[in-house]
Formats: sequence, structure tokens, C-alpha cells
Amino acid sequence: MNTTKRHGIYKTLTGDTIYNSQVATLVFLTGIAFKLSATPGILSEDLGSSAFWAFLCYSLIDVFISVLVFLFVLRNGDALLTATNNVAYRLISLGVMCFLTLKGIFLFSYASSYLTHELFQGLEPSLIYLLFLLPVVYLGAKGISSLSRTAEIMFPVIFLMIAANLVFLQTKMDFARVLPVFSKEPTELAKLFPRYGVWLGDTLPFLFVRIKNKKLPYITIGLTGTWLFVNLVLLLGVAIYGDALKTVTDLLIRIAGFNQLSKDIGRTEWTNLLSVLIASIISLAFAYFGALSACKRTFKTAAPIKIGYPLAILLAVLLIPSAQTVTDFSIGDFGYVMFLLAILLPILAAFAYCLQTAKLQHVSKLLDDEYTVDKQKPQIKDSDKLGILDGFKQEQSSQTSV
Amino acid sequence: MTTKKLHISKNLAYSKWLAILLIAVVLVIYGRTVKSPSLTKTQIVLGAGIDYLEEEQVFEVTTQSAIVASTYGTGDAQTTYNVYSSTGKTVAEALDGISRKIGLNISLAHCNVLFLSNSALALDHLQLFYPLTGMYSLPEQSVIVASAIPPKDLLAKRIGTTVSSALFLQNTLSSQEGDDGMIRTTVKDFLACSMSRSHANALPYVEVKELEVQPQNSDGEIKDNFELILNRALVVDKDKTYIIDEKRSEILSIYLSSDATGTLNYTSQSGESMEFKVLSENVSLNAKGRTVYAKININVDLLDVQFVNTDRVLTGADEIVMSFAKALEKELEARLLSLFETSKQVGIDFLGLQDKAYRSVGRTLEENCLDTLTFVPTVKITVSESA
Repeated sequence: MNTTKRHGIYKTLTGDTIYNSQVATLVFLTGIAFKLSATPGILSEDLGSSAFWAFLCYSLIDVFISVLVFLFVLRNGDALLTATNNVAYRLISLGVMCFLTLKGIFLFSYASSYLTHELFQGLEPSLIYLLFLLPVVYLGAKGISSLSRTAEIMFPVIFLMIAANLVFLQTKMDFARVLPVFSKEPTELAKLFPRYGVWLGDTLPFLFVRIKNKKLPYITIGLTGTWLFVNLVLLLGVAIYGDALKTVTDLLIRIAGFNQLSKDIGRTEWTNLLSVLIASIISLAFAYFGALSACKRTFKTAAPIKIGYPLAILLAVLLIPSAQTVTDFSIGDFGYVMFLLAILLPILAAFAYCLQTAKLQHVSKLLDDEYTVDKQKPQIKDSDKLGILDGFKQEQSSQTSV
Repeated sequence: MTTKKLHISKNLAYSKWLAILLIAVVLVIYGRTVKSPSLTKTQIVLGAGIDYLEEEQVFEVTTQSAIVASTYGTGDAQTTYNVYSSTGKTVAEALDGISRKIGLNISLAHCNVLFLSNSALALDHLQLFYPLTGMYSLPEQSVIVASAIPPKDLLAKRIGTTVSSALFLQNTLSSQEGDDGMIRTTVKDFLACSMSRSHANALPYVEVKELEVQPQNSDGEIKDNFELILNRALVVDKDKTYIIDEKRSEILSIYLSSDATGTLNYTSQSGESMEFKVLSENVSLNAKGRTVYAKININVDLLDVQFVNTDRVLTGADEIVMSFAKALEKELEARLLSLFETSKQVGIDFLGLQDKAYRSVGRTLEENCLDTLTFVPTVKITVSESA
């Protein structure tokens, strides 16, 4: 149960239902966690000055995916397809489960490698894996209500910290570093472009969530705001670093180092480090929740992925000797698969919903007819006013008097 | 129905406490038994120097660190600046050597000045800096300095105003950039230029001179104090280096910076001299094909006038001041053009022109095309009338 208090009144939502304002905070946190950490450096290494433009296109594709997901959710697509036991939807859920599990493995591997090699070097890596995985699993298993409340509480703190670092940013910048648009042959760029699919589909877990709308269009604000924000930070990253952006392993943390207050109060990277760590945990937990929900839709039980997701992550970080191997694999040829999955899955879900609605058109029509009476009811004049029952009333009254 | 609800919440409550207990156990027991770096076992480095000894093919790394010691019961704290050097096949090995010498872990997290020798500058810049900013947490805002003497000797020099040469440079370069040719190039800017199409950088070039009059205290003269002269620039492109003279370093620092301050002087052929204080500057670089246009707008204030034939106090509105400012504009343009010619001669594109042309021409622009480019500088000086 998701209980919130507003204006002194407690509002309780049923399971897997969250407010659109909570959706917006989740969209922001999942949108920044990994898109602004590893992605800029990797894109810059492969694409040079085209990195910003590629990222712009990528984030647009992600917005397109998110729009599809939210249209599906706002039409209660999940409820309809689950209730009608749609086979196609079960297969799509299987795809979403695989996609989110793989995404979880790749991103966790990157995050743990970054933490062990760059931030907490000298610490036992297994300790970091354990401490990082524990909140991810706990938060994901608790469900969307706990996740959304955590995101809602953390959002203002994270947003303020990042915003303060951007407001006080002071360093040499050259915005012309985003040129030329095509640092390589367009065909070569087109070939490289779809390899970064692992960073798409952050909003896919929303497929299994119900949303209760508040007055303001929070989802639109969240999507637009996140899109603008991530592109602004990447633009700043290119303007600050130029081609040296490829040496940057976590842009959001590095940008905090250029805070002009750091001259007086010391290094300020920790502020954004805190934000990135929290956003990463929420992001990975959200992917875990999505995988669990998808598994429930496919196999009617979430048990396999409840154990499978953390186990796969742990095995990947413990058995694969280098995190670089995992990263290379995720943005190698397998990146094309992730790209296709991220785009196709919401399209297929929307398609399945449309087909099912068309199939059940007669039922819908019947339902519509039922509601027609209600809609027309106020237009029908009262029988008393029409005088149809006048005679009957007299008879009735005479009978009563007798 | 009610019983079932209570049962669920009870389970949730248990699982929450179980998770908190588990985290506490991990942090308390496992965390205490795992070896982790401690702050008290870490040496905070203020300045570091890297030299590459070509004959031995080893890195010589020098660090200067501050140790603050206080006596129990008194409020007095004494700061000692220690300089340690070590050699190694890699920078990390040399730093490890220093770590063994002092018995503490080395942290460059607060090192704000990095001295590099010419031989170190000739190495691969990415490989040189990546471990420093990554593993050793060197701030990307650290200033890089080149010197006429090896970094080891420079770090050991005692400056009249402060014992630490690293602290002196950190304060001077951050507050007086542009003054008499002082250029502030940070690690981040160095890498950004090094990896651009121009591949070249300009660094402050430090020369050392013993103080003519040594400082005195109650015990007498404090010997071996030096002054650091910072009015020249070293331009570098991998193994090629060139030292820019004082006058041209002045305009180079304004050209390369976005917020340089300092003074500009114009002396006419008849000996009349005016000093202007730079209040603000705006450098705009645009390329149209292979022609790069540099527009430099400098807002100045009249600071000092000498040997000018006038019997009243001059202000920025006076005709003679305006004419001197105009003459200074022409002189600065000439200095910029001469810098361009030098860059072509020595093959070091420290004005970053190839990078600018690349943005306009695109990927078809060939590498090392400096000779094919045209440079058109325009300087505009506005004298404010605050006087």
C-alpha cells in the first residue's frame, strides 16, 4: 500500500499504483544515473565530436520509448492484457525480463568496477559488491511503492546538489567543441550508433505499474525536464573537456570538481558522488522490480528472477575477471540486440494492446452502451414533468384513500 | 480479512528490521576486519613534480607535503614542508617508492600544482595523466607548470614569502592569471588541447633566481631564499618545445584565457609610457574555412602615465589616452601575428588554429595543416572612464 498525506488527508493507493509525480522523480533518477556516468566517455571515445549529437538522438529515442510506455500504462494496457491472459503479452514480458536482467548485469558491473577502481580503491571488492547489491535487491523486492517513495524523498536532495554544482560551475568552456557534427563518415557513424542500446529503455519497468494522475502533467514535465537536463550536462561535458571527454569515467561527478566554491571549502565531487550512488541504486532496483513484474506476467510467479537477478549480477562481477570485458560485450555486437529489444518491446506491447482491444471491441461496445444510459440520463426529463404518470398517480392515490 | 492484512504488515516489518540488522552486521563485523585505507595513514601532497630521466629511462617523481605538528597543551602548531623523491619505471612505482620512504600512503587529492619537465612533456599525455587523475585523485583543476630547472630542485626551493613553492604558485597563478604573461593551464585544459586537432599547449615557464636581499628575522638572515619568475610561456607539442618571450606571453595569456587580469603597457618611440589595467576581456574565435578570425575585446582602466607632456590629470576620455590605446591595439595585433608566424616556424599550434579550422572545414581537414591556414586577429581596447 502506498500511503501519502496531503492537506491532512491520508490517501491510500492499491498495490503497484503510484502517483504521476512519483513517476516523474523515478524518470529523472533513472535517466541521470547511468546516462551521465559512463555514456559520455564511451561515446566520445568512439564518436569524437559527434558524441553530443549521437547522445541527443539517443535521448530522443528514449523519450519515444517512454511515451509509448506511458501511453500503454495510462490506458491500463497491463491490466487488460493480463486479465485476458494474452499469450503475446506473456512473450513480450519475457523479453522485458531478459532485457532488464541484462541491463542490470551490465550497469551493475560498470558501477561496481568504477567504485572499486576509482573511488574506493584498496577496499575489498566483494564488500563493495555486497553493500551495493543489498539495497538494490531489498528496494526492488519491496515493490514499486517503496521505490517510488524513496525516489520522491531523494529527488529534492539530489536535484539541489546537482543544480548547486551546475550553478557554481567555473571552468574554461568552448561550446564549439560539439563541431563538426560528423566526425566520421555518416555511414560509419550510422553503423556505430545502435551499439549503445544498454542505456535505452530506463522506463520499461513502468509497463507493469498503474498510475494515478494528480492535477499537473508531471509525467510530461519529468520526461521533458530529464531530456533537457541530460543533454545540457553532456553539452557542458563536451564544452569543458572536448576530446578529452573519453578520459572521464563519470561526468556528473567530475563536473562537481569545477565548483567555484571548492576553492574555499575543498573538493566538492562527493556531493555528486552521493547523488550518483543513490540514483544508481534506485535505477538498478527499479530494473529489478521491472524484471520481477515481467517474470510474474510470464510465469505467474516472480520466484525465478527474484533469485536469478542478484545471482546473475554476482556471478558476472565475481567470475568475469574484468569489468571492461562486460562493458566491451555490452557495447559490442550485443549492443545491437539491446538496441532492438529496447525499441521493439514497447512497440510490441502497444501493438498487442491495440490488437486485444480490437478483438474485444464487441465487449467494449457493450460496455459503452451500458454507460450511454448514464451519460444520457440527465437529458431525459422527469416522468412527472412529462405528465405520463398523471393518471396512474390518481389511481394510486384513490386506492390509498380507500 | 483483517487478520490477513495484519499478517502481511508484520512480515514486512520483520524483513525491514532483518535488512537493517544485516547491514549493521556487515558494516560492524566485516567492515572492521577488512583492510581499508585510513586518513591518518595518508600523506597529503601539496605539489608534485614529474621528470623523465631519459638515460636511465625511469620516472623521477617528487612530492612536497605539509605535516602539521602540535604540542599537547599548547595551541602552537608548526607546519613542516617535506620534499621526497623516488624513481620508478612508472609514475605509480615512483609514488610507491615515496610512500615507502615516508611510511604513509600518498594522496594527490589536494595537490594543486604539478611540475613537469620537458622530457615528461614529451611523453604520451593520456598515459601520463590518466593514473594521476584516476587512481591518485589528482584534481583536474591542478595547474601544470614547466621550469628551467628539474621539478625536484624547483619543489625544494624556499620562497621569500612562503616556504612552499607549490603554495606560492597555486596562489599566484589562480589570482594573477594574465599578469605579465602568466598563463594558467589546468590538467583538464592541458588534456583537452593535447587531444584536439592542434595537439599543442602553452604553460607558465618558471625561472628561479636567488633573492638579492635575503629576508631577516631576530636571529639574523634567513639564507637560500629564491624568487620565481613567471613572465614567460613554454609552448609544447609532444617532443617539440619553444619558449615565448615576455611581451608576447602577455597577449598569449589573454588570448588563451577567458578571465585574465593584469596590466598592459604601451611605450611610444619617444619614450611616453602608459600602463593599463585589464578589467575584463572577451575573446571570440571563428573560423571560415581555413581562415581563423580572432576578435579580442579588452576593457581597461588607465593605471599609470609617465613622460607624457601634459599638465593635468589624464582620464580615459582624453584624446591622448585614446590614441595610446589605439596604438596598443595595433601593437597587440602585431604580437599575435608574430606568434602565428612563430607557431608555423616551430610547428607548434599553440594558438589552437587547426582545431578551430577543423570545426569549420570538418573531417576532411588534413592533419598538420598549419601552413595552409590564415590568421586574422583584431584587438579592440575600450578605456573605461572610472578615473
